[in-house]
Amino acid sequence: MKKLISLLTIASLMFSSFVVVGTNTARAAASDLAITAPANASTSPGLARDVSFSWTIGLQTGQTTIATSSIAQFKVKTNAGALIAGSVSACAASTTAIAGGGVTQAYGVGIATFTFATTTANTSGTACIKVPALAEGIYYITLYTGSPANDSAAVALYVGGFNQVTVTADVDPTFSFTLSSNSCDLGILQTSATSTCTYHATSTANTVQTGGIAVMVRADNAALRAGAETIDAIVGAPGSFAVATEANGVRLSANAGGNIGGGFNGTANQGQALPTSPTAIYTSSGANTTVSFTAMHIAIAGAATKVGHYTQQVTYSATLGF
Amino acid sequence: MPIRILKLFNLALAINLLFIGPVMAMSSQNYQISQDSINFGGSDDGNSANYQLDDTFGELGTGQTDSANFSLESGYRQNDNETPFFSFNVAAADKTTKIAYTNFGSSTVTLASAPNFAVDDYVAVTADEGASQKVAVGRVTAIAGNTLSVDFWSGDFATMPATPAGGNDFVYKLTGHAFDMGFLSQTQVSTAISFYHLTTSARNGYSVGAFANHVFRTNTGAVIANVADGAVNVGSGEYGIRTTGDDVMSSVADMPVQLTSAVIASSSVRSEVRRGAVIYKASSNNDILAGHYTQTVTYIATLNF
Repeated sequence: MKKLISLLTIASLMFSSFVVVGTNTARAAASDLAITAPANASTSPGLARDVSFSWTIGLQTGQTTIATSSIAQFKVKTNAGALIAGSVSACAASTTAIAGGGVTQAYGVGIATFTFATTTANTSGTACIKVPALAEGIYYITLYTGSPANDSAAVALYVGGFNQVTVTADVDPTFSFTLSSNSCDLGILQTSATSTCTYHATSTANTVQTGGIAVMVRADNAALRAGAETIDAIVGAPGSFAVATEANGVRLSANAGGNIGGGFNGTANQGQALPTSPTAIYTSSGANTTVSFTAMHIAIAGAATKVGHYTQQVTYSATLGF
Repeated sequence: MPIRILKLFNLALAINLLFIGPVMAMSSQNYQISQDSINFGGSDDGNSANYQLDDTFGELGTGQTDSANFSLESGYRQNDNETPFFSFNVAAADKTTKIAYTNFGSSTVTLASAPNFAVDDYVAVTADEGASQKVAVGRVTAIAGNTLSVDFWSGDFATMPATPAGGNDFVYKLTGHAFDMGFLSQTQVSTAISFYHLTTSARNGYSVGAFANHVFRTNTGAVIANVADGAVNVGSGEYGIRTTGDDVMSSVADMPVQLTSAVIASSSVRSEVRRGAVIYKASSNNDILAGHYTQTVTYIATLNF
């Protein structure tokens, strides 16, 4: 049996040695056929389109003359390598041009063939083919340049969004209002000069609201109170503080993104009484995302001001205007 | 010739004919073998400085035969210049197929539960989803129980742990063309994944370029800025991509998606099967306006014959 197998092997190799036929193809390592990707390689599905190409047969490495081609044959194929089902046709305005002319055109299912006159030195050319309406997908078009150039190349054809990825993300709306302090101590009031304390208010949103941000304020009472005793709100909008004339009020200064309203924008030594119902004191317009202001509470005692611990509760709120 | 020897010769002839097989093309969903031949010798891509030799030995009756109306070119190499092949697939990870895994191997991944995948699906395996996320992509070739076998991994597979940890490692099916990152956070980097798979016979390689239709923005014009420092960080309010896979230009830095085509992977030599993954990253902070952000990225393959 061993001998039989050996004989079989030898016989097989002997037979094979008789039928060696070289079908080698040696090509230059450098690129010789260059095809330019068409400008309209990306298009919409369901529409026939003219696709224009240009190509050049270059000098192969190791050769001294550029080979010519006898034909330029285009095949439109699917991503799986099959010819498309529809027929390729001539462009409305043919731009096929080969140096020396002599071009005949033939069209078929998935194929367009341009045959050149044998007397023409065809080393480059341009052509336009009408690709039939295709379904969404990725296709490719091959170019084969006939003998003696005998080379091929391909370019991609994108129909619809199969070569695209759409990435999305969402950012939640946020809105905040903060006070730098929840207390403001005026200290021991004097009759000879005003006492002050300050804090900052900031409102931030990440929305592109068109109505801006409005900061509202209200006090539990316009006066500072210590039991039944009061230091009244200043009169005027704004009003000016006077020595030994008891009064209290608030003055604002803008830090970012808004406007002071309602007499709260007085100058030095001026103030505005706080309202007891919600009132806009700081507003912005448009797409401001941050507004900020500084509130200064101001008070002065009079000769008749009673001893006591005076307080006032002030409440702020902020709203977004869309 | 003795009868015994004649029988032997006939048997040898039969065996030999078996080895001199048909010349034909084959294809499947994911591969195309444009031409094949069973012989006893020859090879593709014999190279020297200036020439490249593709040879085949052992074929019968090759060559060109012409008649008035037809031309026959028979033989394996006769077809060399006529059938360049190309395929290009682009897809995004499908969030609905997200599934944890328990083991990542050199060509396998074992899922934590019964797989909802099929042979020939492309899958993406992630490790440590977030700012430092790693991704490997492959094509499923077999499924045994909860274990998927793939043809090979492309991407960050060499640095991905065999045993995932941290609860942020998943497998996705790559299909469709959209990925929603959901609501962005100020405490983590959100990610999305896409991939491309390219086959080509182009002798001098290929390149894959990418470009976006616009910056990552809302339809009211709010923008998450492109990453500029090489890393999309937590709380930075940035957006960018990282590429990984075969022949990618950079697999380390996060980079912006350009509005004109920029090459993300290329090779100057024959590269018949190539894959790459693209990881999209986004982070938010207080300066990022509320809204629905979107960007479409187009991938273009250029072949160099």
